Amino acid sequence: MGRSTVGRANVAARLLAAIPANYLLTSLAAAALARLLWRGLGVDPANASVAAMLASFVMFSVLALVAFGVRSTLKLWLWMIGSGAVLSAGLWLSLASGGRL
Amino acid sequence: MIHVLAIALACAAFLMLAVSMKRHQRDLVGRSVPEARARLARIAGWLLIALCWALEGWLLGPALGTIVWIGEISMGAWLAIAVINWRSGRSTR
Amino acid sequence: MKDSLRQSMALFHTWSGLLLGWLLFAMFATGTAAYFQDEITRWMQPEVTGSADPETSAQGAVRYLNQVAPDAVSWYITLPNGRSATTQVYWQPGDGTRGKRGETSAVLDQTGRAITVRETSGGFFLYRFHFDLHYMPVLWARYLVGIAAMFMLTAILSGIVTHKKIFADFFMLRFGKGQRSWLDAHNVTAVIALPFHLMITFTGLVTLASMYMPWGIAANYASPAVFQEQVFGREPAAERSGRAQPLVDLAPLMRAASAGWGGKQVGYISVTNPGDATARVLLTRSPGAAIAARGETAAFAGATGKALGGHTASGAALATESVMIGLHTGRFAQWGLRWLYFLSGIGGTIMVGSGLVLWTVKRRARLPDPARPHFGFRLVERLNIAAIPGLATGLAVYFLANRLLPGDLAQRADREIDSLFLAWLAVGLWGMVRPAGRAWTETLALAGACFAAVPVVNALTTSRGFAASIMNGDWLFVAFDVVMIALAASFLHAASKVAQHRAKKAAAPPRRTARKAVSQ
Repeated sequence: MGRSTVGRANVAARLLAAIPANYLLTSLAAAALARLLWRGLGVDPANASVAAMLASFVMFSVLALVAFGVRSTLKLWLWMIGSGAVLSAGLWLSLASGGRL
Repeated sequence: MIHVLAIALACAAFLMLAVSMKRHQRDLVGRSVPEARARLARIAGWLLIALCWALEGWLLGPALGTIVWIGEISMGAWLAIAVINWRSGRSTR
Repeated sequence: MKDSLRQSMALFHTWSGLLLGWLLFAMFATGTAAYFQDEITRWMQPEVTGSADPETSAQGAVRYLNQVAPDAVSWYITLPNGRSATTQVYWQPGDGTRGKRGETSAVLDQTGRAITVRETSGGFFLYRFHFDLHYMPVLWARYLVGIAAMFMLTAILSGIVTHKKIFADFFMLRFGKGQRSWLDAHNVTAVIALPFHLMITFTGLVTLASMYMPWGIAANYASPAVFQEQVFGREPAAERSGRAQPLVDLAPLMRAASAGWGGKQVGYISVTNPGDATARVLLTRSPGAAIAARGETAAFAGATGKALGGHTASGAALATESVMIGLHTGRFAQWGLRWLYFLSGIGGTIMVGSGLVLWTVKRRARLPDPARPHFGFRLVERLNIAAIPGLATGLAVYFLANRLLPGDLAQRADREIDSLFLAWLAVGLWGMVRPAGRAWTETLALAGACFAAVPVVNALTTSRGFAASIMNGDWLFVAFDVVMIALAASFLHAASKVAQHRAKKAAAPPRRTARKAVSQ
């Protein structure tokens, strides 16, 4: 289709990024955002949760496109893994210090 | 009723926008349109779209008005496409 | 830079649209029909006439439920609105069992009598199908539908990125130019109602958001039940006390609730522990009364009628979610806006269908040997036939079955639904055994013929045929027939176009192929 590096491994790596890894990362982001809005910014927990849920659909769909749109698959994965680590750490800290309703 | 008028407004708006585009000018008015006129048509088109929104907003309130306006704009666009197709069909026969 | 992004998004768009395109076509088609589900249900129960008053219906429903399920854990009553004439009731049996589908629900008229004259699922089935599918557990169906919806959302977004001339080609709809025409049709139906398509797809995901993305709630709540309580004010059900006390008349409660909501009607009633001293009545505002879907509630003690307070979920995110669901279901729409919803849905259905056909048209030109296409091409072509004329025929047969199946047939509503799927399957199989080109012509013609038959069969088997309906000012029945004829005309027209196209191709001089080079 014109892209110079559409090898099988490349496409597979992008598919993994666009679907399962994307879902994992987006779930982490939704959870982290919900806690940030509630514990960090004082939004009531119900609205914080729902806002995070709504935002997550935008994030998932955009990230799926990005997974196929960016030039470097390696950079894509590095960014996703890095963000995942940061989000996980933040989420764990928040849960450990605050707890849930 | 007044909403039929709104759809007609939307159709007129899109026909104005179409006339401002070179590739549709021959079909719609039979000749090329000078650049200044084309720009006027484009402005008129956008104004009519805004007018349609104002009309629905005034009739139904901002929320419901916007929703109905989006639907009517789509219908107006469809009608305009039908007109353009009909005209282009006639000009090639 | 930009070009390669366009190219990668074009590839992405093709795959995300194609992989579940057939399911999406069915979801769009039945979802579009669902905007008129109450009207379709009325058409499918022609013996039910007139309108039903909600208060009378509530009282009738209570009479029925007292007879049929006096010891139930809870009763759920869906009241008639301006468009429907029947009451739907559902109950949870008191002995803890969950009855089979159909055994713990009924459709009533406003006097509380079950309607048995022509048992049907009506338009309600089409509505449920578009997210619950059929013949499978609803949980699986909703996950599958959710995945399809996300594929659709990414297809729309990537389509926007990849569409090179979104403004320049806005009005282009050229006919008779093969691949270019299909691309025009796909582009125009997509772009003209782009706000609608984006809205419907995103809000569709939102309607089942807590299934697909429960992590926002899980992050703040140890259990979803706590969230439900906070947002919807649902209290966990108390145990029955054993002290029998008849339920108060619901009509005054409904009036009180309505007054508290500025006159908005009651849409749903749920009664827990009916007939007991601990009975609780929860009234929910009708979804048709405002854009926001989650209606205000009012709770009352069932034995005494005492008001227990109401609940309105509040806050920006909850309000946004509620409005989004309301926009998707369109229950607030009056008939004019409802037709706009319907027509936009038809546009979306054509967008998906034309995309599926475009894929084969584009690749047919590039086949090394047109007589023997590769497996992927053949698969897509056959699935297209199953999806498009297949589903269309199924829908027409559903309506025909409603008129033709005997009124006292056991499980009649289920048999009507089975007819839809049998017809769909039959067309799918026909499309697989016939040569593809002929299959298209035949199945499109069949779909057209079946739709055309609906008004005819209606006139022959009921007293509400086209002429009678016009004379009685029965515009619902008139409009139904008109839509059937319009669909019939579209499919028959498509069939004749395909036949013409094939005749032209057959008459054209044979293409030179490298393999058949004749040595001079």
